[in-house]
Amino acid sequence: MAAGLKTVILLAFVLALGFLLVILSCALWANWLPLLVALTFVLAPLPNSICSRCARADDISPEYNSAYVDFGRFLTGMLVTTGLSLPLLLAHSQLIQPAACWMSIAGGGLVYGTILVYSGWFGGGGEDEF
Amino acid sequence: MSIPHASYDPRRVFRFSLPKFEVGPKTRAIGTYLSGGLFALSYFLLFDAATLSSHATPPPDAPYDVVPVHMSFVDWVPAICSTLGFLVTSLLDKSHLQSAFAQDAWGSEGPAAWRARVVLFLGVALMAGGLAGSLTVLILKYIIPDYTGYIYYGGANVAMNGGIMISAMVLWISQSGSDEYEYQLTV
Repeated sequence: MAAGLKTVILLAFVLALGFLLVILSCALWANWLPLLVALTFVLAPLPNSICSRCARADDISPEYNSAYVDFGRFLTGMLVTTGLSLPLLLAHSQLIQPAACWMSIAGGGLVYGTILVYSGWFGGGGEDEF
Repeated sequence: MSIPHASYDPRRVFRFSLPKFEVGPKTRAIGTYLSGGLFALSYFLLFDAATLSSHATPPPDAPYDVVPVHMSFVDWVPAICSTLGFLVTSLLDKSHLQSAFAQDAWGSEGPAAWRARVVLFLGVALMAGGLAGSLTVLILKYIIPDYTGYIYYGGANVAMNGGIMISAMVLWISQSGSDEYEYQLTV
């Protein structure tokens, strides 16, 4: 159980580091637009979990409907790409500094990676796929 | 002198059969993610051009000039066409199409197959129309009037519509495998 405990603590630290990077990228230049990136990356695992529940809900019926799962994957792809390209867009139009762009991308990636690793580690045997 | 005899069934509507790809579940998942990413990326290209245009300032050596061209609603019309076409082709039921393009001519009768064919045609025509419209906007609005430094708006528009088209293709290919791979009976 010690290994699991260490993993949880490590993941918590990484999550805090990610949020620190995102918030720092906003606060250093007093420009709170990069906070949208954190929001996007936090929302990114939601469609897959919701849609896998939806697809499982009618497992009673003999026809397995994979449309929900596919739609969830499509939305996940869209959200992750949004989180990656939104700071680049903002930096390209000089609404935020380039450093804030890279910091928010790194922070959002850390947050999303933490959610991925946590659900992969403790998700109950790959029930939910993110 | 006669043209060679055609080897296809003359009762079929199209000479070429629908390309059939067999993909595994892994490829299906990756292709769906990739398609969503491409879709968002193409939209962000257009958003990037729009944001750049709305925050455009005159060049620093002539600060009292006006910015000659801005993105307007015209730039968004091809994007709307492409998105509608993407939705139409993605929402189409593939099994109706398979029967419409099947080898036996009897499957290609029936109102469902006929409608599937028309809807597929409409969707692809909308996407191609979007691409052509974005090229038109690029040429007429940004290349002909000889601005300097504003071709990016039109280029981003063309790239966006092309990206929507590639995204639709990737989604089509990854969805065309059988969707029974995850069949699980948990009763």
